[in-house]
Amino acid sequence: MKRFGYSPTGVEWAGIALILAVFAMTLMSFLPGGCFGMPSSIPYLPPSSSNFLGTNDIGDDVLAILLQGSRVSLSIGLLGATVSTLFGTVIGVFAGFMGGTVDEALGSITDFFLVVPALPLMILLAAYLGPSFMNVVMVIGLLWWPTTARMVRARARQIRGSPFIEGLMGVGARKPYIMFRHVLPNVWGIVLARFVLAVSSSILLEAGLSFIGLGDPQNPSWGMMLHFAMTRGALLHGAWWTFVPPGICISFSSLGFILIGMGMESRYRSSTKSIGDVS
Amino acid sequence: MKKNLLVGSIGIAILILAGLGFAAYGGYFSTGSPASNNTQSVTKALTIGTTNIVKTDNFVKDYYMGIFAACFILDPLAAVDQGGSIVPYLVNWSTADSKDWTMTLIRNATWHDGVPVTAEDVAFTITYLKAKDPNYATHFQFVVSAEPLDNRTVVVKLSREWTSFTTGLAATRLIPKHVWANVTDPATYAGSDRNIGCGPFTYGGFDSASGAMTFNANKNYWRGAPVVDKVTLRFYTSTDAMLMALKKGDIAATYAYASGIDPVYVPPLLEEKNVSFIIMPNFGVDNSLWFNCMRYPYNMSEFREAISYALDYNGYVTFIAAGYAKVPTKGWIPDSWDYCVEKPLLAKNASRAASMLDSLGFVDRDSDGWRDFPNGTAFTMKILARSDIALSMRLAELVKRDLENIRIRVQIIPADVSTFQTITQKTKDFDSAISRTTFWGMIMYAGAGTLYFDNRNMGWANVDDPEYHAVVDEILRTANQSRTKELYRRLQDLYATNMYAIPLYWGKIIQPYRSDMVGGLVFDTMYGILGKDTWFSVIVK
Amino acid sequence: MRFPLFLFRKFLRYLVLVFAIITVNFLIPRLMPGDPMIFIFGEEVYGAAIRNPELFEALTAKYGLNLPLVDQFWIYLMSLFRADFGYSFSYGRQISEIIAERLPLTLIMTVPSTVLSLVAGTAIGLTLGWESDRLPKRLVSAACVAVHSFPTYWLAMLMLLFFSLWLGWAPIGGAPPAGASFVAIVQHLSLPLLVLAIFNTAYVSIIVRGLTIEISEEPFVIAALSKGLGKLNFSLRHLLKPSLPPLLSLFAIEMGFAFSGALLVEIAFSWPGMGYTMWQAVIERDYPLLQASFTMVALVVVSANALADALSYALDPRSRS
Repeated sequence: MKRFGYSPTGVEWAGIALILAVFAMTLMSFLPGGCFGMPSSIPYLPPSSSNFLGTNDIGDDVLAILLQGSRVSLSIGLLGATVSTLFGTVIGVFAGFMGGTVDEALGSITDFFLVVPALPLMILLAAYLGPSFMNVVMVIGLLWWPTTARMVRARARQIRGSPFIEGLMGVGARKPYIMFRHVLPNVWGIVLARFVLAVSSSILLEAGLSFIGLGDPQNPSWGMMLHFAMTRGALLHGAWWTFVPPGICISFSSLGFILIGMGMESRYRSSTKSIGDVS
Repeated sequence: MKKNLLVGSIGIAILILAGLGFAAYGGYFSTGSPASNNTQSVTKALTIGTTNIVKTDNFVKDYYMGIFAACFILDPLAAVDQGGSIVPYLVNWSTADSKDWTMTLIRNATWHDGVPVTAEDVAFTITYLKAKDPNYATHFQFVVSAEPLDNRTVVVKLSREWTSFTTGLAATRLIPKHVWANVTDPATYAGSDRNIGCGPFTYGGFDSASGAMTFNANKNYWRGAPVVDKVTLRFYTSTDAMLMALKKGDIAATYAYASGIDPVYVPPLLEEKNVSFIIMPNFGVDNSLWFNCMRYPYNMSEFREAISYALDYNGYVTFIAAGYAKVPTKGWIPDSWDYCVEKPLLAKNASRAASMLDSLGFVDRDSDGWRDFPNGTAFTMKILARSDIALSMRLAELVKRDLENIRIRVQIIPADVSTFQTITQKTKDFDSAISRTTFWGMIMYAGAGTLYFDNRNMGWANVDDPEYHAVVDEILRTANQSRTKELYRRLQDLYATNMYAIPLYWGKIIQPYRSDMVGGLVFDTMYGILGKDTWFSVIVK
Repeated sequence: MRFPLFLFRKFLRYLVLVFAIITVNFLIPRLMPGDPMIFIFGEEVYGAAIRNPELFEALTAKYGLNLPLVDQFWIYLMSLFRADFGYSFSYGRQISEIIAERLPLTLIMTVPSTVLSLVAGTAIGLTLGWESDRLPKRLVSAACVAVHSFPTYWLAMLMLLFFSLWLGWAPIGGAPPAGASFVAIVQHLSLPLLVLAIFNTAYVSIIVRGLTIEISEEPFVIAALSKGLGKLNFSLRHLLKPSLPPLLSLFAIEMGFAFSGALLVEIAFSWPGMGYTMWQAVIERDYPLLQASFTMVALVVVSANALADALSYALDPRSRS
C-alpha cells in the first residue's frame, strides 16, 4: 500500500525517459559484437578509448556486458511483473467479488505471503528450483502478488456493493460473466499501476537474487555483474567500473518504472476519490 | 491526552529496544576472551587470518577444526614429505605382506596434561576413530584389530592387502585414551579436556561470534618449545576483508587449507611493498573438466579428446589463475609429484577438434549453426559447475565459449556444493563437471587421483574401464614401491590416452604474508604454512 | 458485543498463519536438492560413505533423517512446543546458542538504523508533504525515491570503495574482533548502519510524505489551519496522529526487515549476523538451523504485525468495523 500521493507529470516524463534509455540499451545490445570494444586479454583494464568502460575479471568489455544485461533485467522485470500482477488480480477479483469463505481463505493465503519474510523464502525457493531464467521469473511472480491482490480485492469489494452490480445479480447474470465484464474493467486502472510498480520490484529482486549467486548463468544480468565484482576481487582492484555502471542501471531502470507507477497511482486515486478511499 | 500517552510510550519502547540491542552487543563483547596485548614485549604472538571458518571447536565434528587441531594441538602418526610421500612422524612401521603391520612409537611425546604417550594410545586411536568417526571408518575400513604389543609397539591386522593403510596414518591425529575412552559420541563431546593433544601448542580458546581462536606454546613438546608463544587465528567470511586486514597489518599472514587465495587477488597485493608471497606448486589439479564416462557420447574417448583440442588453456591461466599456473599435460597428474611422467602439453587446435567431431558424426544436421547427434537430434553438452565458487562459474563460462567456437551448444548447470556432490557422487546424473582436486584427495584410495576417477569410489569421472580397475586393484595390493611407481606411470598413460578428465590448468598455492611482521614460514605439503616445521623456524618481527 | 468475536477471529487467523509458516519452513529445506549428509561426512569421504550402507544408515539415523517425513515433522513440532530447536548439523552446537550469538550482531545493526530512519524519515516526510508543490521539496522527494531504488548491497559496495579502500576509515566488512576498542566497534559498524539508515530513511519519508499530503487535503485540516494553529504544533497534533495506524504497520514491516531483510547487506559486508547465518545454512543444508532461524524471523514479523493490528485497533475506532 504505497501511498505516494500527488506527482506532477514532469516526474512521469522523467520515468518515461529512463525507461526509453533502458530500451535503447537493449536495442544496442543487438548490434553486432565489436561495436563497443572487444574482449581484452587483460583482466580489470581501466576505462580507455578501446574499452569505454574497461574490462572485467575475465577480460570482457564491461559496456558490452552491460548492454546485454539490460535484456535480462528488462525481460525478467516484465515477465515477473506479468506473472505477479496476473496472480494478484485473479485472486483479488475473486476474493473481493465472492466474499465470505472464499474471501476469508484467499485472504489468509495473501496474509501468509505478506507476512512471511520474502527474501529468505525467495532464497530457499530459488535454491530449490535451481537457477534458470523461468525459475527466477516464477520465484518473483510467486512472492510479489499479495499487495496487488489486496488492493484489487478492496476495489472489487466496493464495486460488488454498488447498486449496478446488485441490479445485474438481480436480473440473474452469472457470476463469472459479471466478474469479467464488469468488475475487471473497473479495477483495470489499479492493476496497470501495480503492474508498472511490480516491474520495478522485479528488476530489483532479480538483481538481489543474482547478487548472491542464484541468477541464471546462461543470461548474465546486471545483478550478476555485481556478484562477480564482489566475489572476484573487484573491490581490492579498485575496479569501480565493473560495479558502478550496473548498479546505476539497476537503480535507474527500476526508478523509471516507479516514477510512472506513482503517477498512474495518484491519477487513479484522484479519479476515484468520489467513490471513497481505496487502500 | 490518552493518545499522546500512547505515542510517548511507543517512543519509549523503541528507545528501550535500541538500548537492549546495544546492551546485548556490549555484553557479547565483554564476555569474549580479552586480547590483552600489554605483555607483547615478553611474549611472541602471531596472528593469522583464514577464510576456513571453524564453527565449533570439536575436531571430530568440525572439518576445519580438525585441520587446525592437526596443525597446533595434535600430532599425526605419519607426515607427508615435499615430494608427496608418506614418512614417519610419531610412529614408524613395517609390513611383510601389506596385511599385518607393526608400528613403533619413535618419539618421547607427552600429552598436554603430563601423561606420557604410549602404544595404548595409538591402538586406541585407530580402533576408536574407526568406530566413531565416519572419516576414519573409510580410512581404516580393512582394519580387523589394533593391539598394543608392548609400551611402544602396536600390531595392526588388516582383512586384506592394503598399501594405502599408510595414507590413513598420515590422516590420523593421535588422541589420548584417558580422555576419550568413555566418550560415546565424540562429535558432541564438550568436556574441557576435549582439546588435549601432544602437539606443539595447547588449546587457548574460541570466540565464535567475533571469529578468533588462540593457541599457546607447549613448552614440553618433544621437539622442544615452539619459537612463538601464542598464535591467534582470525576467521574472515570474505577474502576481501581478510586481505584488507593483511594490508593494514592486523594479521601477519593468511591461510587457506590446501588452496591459498584466489589468484585474482594477487595483482592488487603486488603494489604493497610489505606483502610477500609463498608460492608453491599445487599437488591437487586446480580444475578439470570431468566427463561422465558412462554416458553417451562422453563414453567415447575420441569425443573427449576432440573436446580437449577445443579448449584455450592459456586463457584459463590468464583469467582464472592470473598467470600463476601452468598449461597442463595430457597425463593429468601435476608435475609437482615425483612420480609424474612427462606427457605432451595440452594445446588448442580448433580445426583438429572440428574434424574429429565431424568424423564422429557430430555435424550440424538441421542447419541451426549447432552440431547435432549423429542421429540428427539436437545436442547440448551440460557442464555442472559450483555456483558457490565464483572462480568455478567463470571457468565454466570460458569453457562454454571455447566449445561454442567449435559449434557445440553448451549449458552451464550451476549447483551449490551439496547439490554438486550429490549429483556427481550419488545420482551420477550429469554430462560433465568442473571441479578441483585437493592434495588429500589425490593420495586417498589408491593415490594418483584414483579416488576421483574410479566409479567404485567417489568417482566423478565415473570410470568403469576394466583396464583402469585392474591397475587400481594392483596398486592397492602392491607393497613394492618400485612396482607402485610403475603402476602410477601406467595410470598416467591411461589418463593421457583416454582423457577421462581434461586438466584445465595446474595452479599454484599462493599464501600472502607481511614480510615486516613475520619470516621463516615453512611450507608443508599437507598443511601449508601451518605445518609443524614452521613452529621451529618462524621469526616474529 | 461483537468485539471479542472479532478479536478471536483475528487470533485464529494468526494461529493458522503461524502453523503454515512452520510447515513451509519444514518442507522447503527438505525439498531442496542436495544431501545434507555431505556436510556431515565431508566432501571427500561422502563418496566412499554412500558405498558403505551400514555406516551411512547409522549416521542418517543419528540425525533422524531416516524417518518418514511425517514422523520428522511430528518430532519437529513437538520440539518447537518445548522451545527446543535442537542441534545444528553444521555447527554441532545447540541452535539456541548459535542464535543467541548471531542475533545481537544483527540487532546492533538493524535496531539503531530502524529507529533512526523512523524518526528522520517521519520528520523529512512531514516537511516534504507540507506544501509539497514547492520545487526544492519536489526535488528532495524525487531524490528520496531515487535512493530507495538503489540496491542496498550496491550502496554497500560503493561505501566500501570510498570509505574502506580509498579513505581507509573502515575495514572491508566483518564483525569487530573480541575485545575490540569502542572506536574499532564503531568503525566496523558504521558502514552497514549507514547503508541501512539511508535506505530506510528514504523509504519512510516517501510513505510519510504520501500520508501527509492525503491528510492535509482533508477538511478538518483546512479548518484547523484557518483557526490559526502554528505549523509545527499542527503537524504534530493533527498530522502525526491520524497517520499513526499506517505508520505502525510500517513499523511492523520494518521490524521484519530488521531481522531478515538485512541479509543482502550482511552478505555484502560479510557481517556474521542472522541473515548471513541463514544463507550459510541454506548452502550447507543445515535443516534444523534453517527451520529455527526462519521460524524465528517469521514469528517476529507476525507478532510485530499482530501488535500493530492491536495498537491501531486501540487508536483508531474506524478499524473496528
